[in-house]
Amino acid sequence: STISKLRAKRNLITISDKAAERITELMKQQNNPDLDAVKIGVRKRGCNGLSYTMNYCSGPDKLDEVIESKGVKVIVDSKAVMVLVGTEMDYVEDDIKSEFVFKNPNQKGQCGCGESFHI
Amino acid sequence: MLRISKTLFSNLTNLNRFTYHTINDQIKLTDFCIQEIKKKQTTKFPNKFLRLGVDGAQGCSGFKYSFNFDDQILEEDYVLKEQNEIIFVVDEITLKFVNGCIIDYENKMIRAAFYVQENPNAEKSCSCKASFAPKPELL
Repeated sequence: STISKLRAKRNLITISDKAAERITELMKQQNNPDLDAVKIGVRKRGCNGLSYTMNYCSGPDKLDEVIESKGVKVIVDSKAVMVLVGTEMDYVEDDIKSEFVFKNPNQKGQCGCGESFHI
Repeated sequence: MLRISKTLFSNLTNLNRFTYHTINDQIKLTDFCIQEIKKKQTTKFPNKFLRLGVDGAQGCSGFKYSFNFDDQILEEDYVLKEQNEIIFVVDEITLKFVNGCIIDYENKMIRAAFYVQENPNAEKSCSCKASFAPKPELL
């Protein structure tokens, strides 16, 4: 499975159509040529250990992974690469809220609220 | 519980004729939250209002907050009006669990959602702000 994981690095994470659409919309709203990507990462927080972070970003730092797909550029923080490998990034919207969700095959459990997880 | 039928009183303005409890200082909504409710009322949910409830046995802390847009008012409901229009409703049991709380709307890149900012009745809150454990005297 190590080999398959290495192969999968080509598509470290996948971005759904909806997520790509939303990122495009957000970048347009920013209207700042210096910011051309969103960076995703994880940080220690939440009742289940880790939670996802998302920020605008102007370019990758050393060792960050860059994913260009469906017209958007997503940078994965180097510290989060091992946690996020194989993750599918989606965007869901209902009457009450709208949010990016991460279907992460590495996670072993998550908070009942779905916001934090552990691996 | 007496349910005021939607068919009988299809327009919310009719509800002005009913006597119901009003929320005074029991629950506070931030300006940003009120703005967002009004925005949703004009775009997606005409004649509806935000309702907060609590569901037991859910979420990591035992009780989970639930928000939805509703158009029915029950007899035991507590209502918050803004410029004579109902914007927020909570039922009597929920009020017991959230009395004194502040409701806010967060608009971040990763998530945009209503949430309960501070709840003095919670002994322990989930850090995701989605669920809480009420103080034992409330149960």
